[in-house]
Amino acid sequence: MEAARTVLGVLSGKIDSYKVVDGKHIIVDVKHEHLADVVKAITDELGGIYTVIVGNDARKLDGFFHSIYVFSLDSMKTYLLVRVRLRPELPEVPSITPIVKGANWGEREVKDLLGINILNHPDLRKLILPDVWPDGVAPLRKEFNYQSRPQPSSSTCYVPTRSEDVVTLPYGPYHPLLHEPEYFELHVKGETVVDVEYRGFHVHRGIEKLGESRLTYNQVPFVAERICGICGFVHNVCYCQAVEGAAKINVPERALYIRSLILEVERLHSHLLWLGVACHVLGFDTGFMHAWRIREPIMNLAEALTGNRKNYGLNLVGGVRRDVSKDSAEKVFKILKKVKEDYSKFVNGLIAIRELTKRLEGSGVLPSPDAVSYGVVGPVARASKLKRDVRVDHPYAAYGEVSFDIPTFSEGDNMSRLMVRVEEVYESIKIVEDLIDRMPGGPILAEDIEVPEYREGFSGVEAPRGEDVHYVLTGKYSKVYRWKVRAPSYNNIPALKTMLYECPLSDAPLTIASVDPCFSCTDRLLVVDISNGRKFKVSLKALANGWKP
Amino acid sequence: MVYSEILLATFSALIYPGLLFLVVLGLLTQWYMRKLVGRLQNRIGPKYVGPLGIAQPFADVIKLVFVKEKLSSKGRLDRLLILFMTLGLGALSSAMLFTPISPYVIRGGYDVIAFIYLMIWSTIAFAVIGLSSSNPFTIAGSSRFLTQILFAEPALIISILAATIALTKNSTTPLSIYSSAAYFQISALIAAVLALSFISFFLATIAKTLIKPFDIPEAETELAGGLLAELSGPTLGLAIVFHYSEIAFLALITTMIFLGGPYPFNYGDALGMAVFIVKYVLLLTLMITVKASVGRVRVEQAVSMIKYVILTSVTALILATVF
Repeated sequence: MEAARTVLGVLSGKIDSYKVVDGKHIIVDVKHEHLADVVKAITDELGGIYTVIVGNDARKLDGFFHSIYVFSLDSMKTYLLVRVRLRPELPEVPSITPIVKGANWGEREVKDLLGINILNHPDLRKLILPDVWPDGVAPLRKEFNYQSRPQPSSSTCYVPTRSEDVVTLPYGPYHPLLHEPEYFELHVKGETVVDVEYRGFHVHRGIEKLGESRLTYNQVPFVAERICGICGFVHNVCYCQAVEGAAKINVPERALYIRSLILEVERLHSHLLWLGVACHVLGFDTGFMHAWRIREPIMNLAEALTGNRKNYGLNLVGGVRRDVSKDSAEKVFKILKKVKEDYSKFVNGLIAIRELTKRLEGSGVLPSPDAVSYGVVGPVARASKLKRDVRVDHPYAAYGEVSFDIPTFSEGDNMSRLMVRVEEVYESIKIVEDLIDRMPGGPILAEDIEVPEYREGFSGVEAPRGEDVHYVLTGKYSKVYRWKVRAPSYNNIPALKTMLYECPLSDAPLTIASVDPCFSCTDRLLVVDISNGRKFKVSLKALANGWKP
Repeated sequence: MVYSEILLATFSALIYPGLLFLVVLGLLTQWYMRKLVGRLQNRIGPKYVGPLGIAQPFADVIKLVFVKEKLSSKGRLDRLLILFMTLGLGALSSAMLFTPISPYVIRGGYDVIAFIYLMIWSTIAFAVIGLSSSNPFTIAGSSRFLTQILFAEPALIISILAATIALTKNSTTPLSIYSSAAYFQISALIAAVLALSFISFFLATIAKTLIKPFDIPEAETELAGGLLAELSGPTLGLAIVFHYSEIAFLALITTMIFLGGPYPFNYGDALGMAVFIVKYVLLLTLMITVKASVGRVRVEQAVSMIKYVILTSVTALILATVF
């Protein structure tokens, strides 16, 4: 394998061993003292872009904790997984955040969920777990029962620093701008944002733990689909591909076409939804309503193809559960023709409104080098001059069979991010029509599927918001031993810090919306005590029982 | 005689065309705006209360004032808020007595000064809404409102001055609102002055009443309602009544002074009344079309736009005084 030779050439002397997974992805084993050198070589010499960090409690397998750093080598069409084995009694690993900004969250997550200590990290506050989660309890370790509920500790909470001339504007956890709970704290001087604090994961649902402890490998896709309320099918496909890669299952061609088809339909309705939201944030509600009017036939299309507007429940490891009928395929052309007409009319009108475009141009800029360092994905990356698209960089499903363009813009501002999505809708329509035209016959589900124990699989899917990746390590009794999900917004949101710096307050909501952040339903509450600015996370039950700070 | 005059004045101030009329017209105006914006946005708009949902705004206000509980937050000056909104509403009601549609008319030379004074009260009341709370959104909203109004209010005043000067050139009561409206005539000069001052008065009205693209102080998706973020229940109900009364008031003044009211017919004619209503509705339609076809601008964009509005009104004033 060409890519493996190049990688080994660059990293020779620093790695212990390597293997190739699924004929595509390269896994190298590295000692933790070499980690920084290896990461530097990957980013500088191989052009690798940070993707995700996967932590794994593999003590039952080889006696170690694993920390796996994943980089996308776009030009070589491969993912490079760098595995560091950590001592079980005191798992410690040096931070790579000083080299790759994007790794900040990944390292904090590994610390939160697996109790792996990160050395020299610039900011080790809790990320995923609530502030009152007791220290030393790591929920993704295998000895932690998924049903246990530890007693809250009284650790100190985050208190914002305030100065006289800076106004702190809280955006969230509930704010008309945000359709899901998340918390942005904008520090505003006059009308300019000078800093931003972020607190998310109000809705951490422990889906990975659930998948590892309760579900069998064919039940996971249905839970995976519920990770996102808009582009759930993406997670579903991504998980199945990772398992199929690990188990070396050949998926029938027709199933691959159906997956691509539904993925594109999902991209269509997601982009139209975003366009509507962007108009709403700009105060242009007429555009909002009309974007959603145009979106509606696409939802009907999804229903005609799969039986559901959302949550199709279509995928299984090895293929899909239901076929696309000939009638519904014919419907597609009719609906798409009308959508295309309405859409181009709408978009041309939208871009012609100077008041709107004036606000979009030059605001929320993400320069290309920062985009690389944060490892941003999807439309956000493509608006900052990075020609990244999993459909082309790591071809999957039936995307190798169709041709399409990747719209790329170089300004990195809100206008570019809008234009990327606007153009992608046309491309998606083209892809859907192409797929239906070329769809082959045959079976839709592989037969005699066997998933061997302890095999690794890694897969990426281009979601509407960018690259979504799943890592799977298969386990015993038809279960997965480790399942790691990284949604696209995970890499895009940290880049907001750069985008929002010195941004006018009026454009801040637009900039936040421009990365199309995606979260989910809530289960906790943030309370601010006005008298001293302290914040508490309180359960609804405690609040109902008359909780007092 | 004196008693009957007092009675008439009270009736005019409280019932027609004062308080009650303004409030009812304001809520009807709200219905029309909501219905039309709804239709333009591919929605139905108000539907359930009354024929075509015409009573929906009334139902909303009644619910807010009588059904919803009164919530207040620490540091909010509720009484001040209510006092100033009432004062603003009162000022607008009494300003209506200067117009020819009032049975009891206050008229005299230069009464436009008093009229402008009363009009400014509504702005002050709105500013107080923002300043009476310590919510950061409200603070940001009110600082935006004050920036915006600093430019919009002068445009409003200069254009109304220009129009009344031009319209009362040959009158015995110069710069009188009543004379300008009741003895409306048209000449080349008046047409030029009115055209310019109408444009600037119209845009300043939009800016003053926070209609898009100038809803910056309210900015739902940025400031969660800004100025109005802290209001709820009865106070919100009062703010809505006050806000739409202000819109109706400014639209009435525009119709009477800049569009000639019932011209070419007279006040009191059935035909004149029909013409008046048609003009009023057309003006609202124009406002709503603007509202529905643009997004929100940034504060500095708004200020640079309103600068030209002031320039237009100053040109009208120069035209009116020099020729």
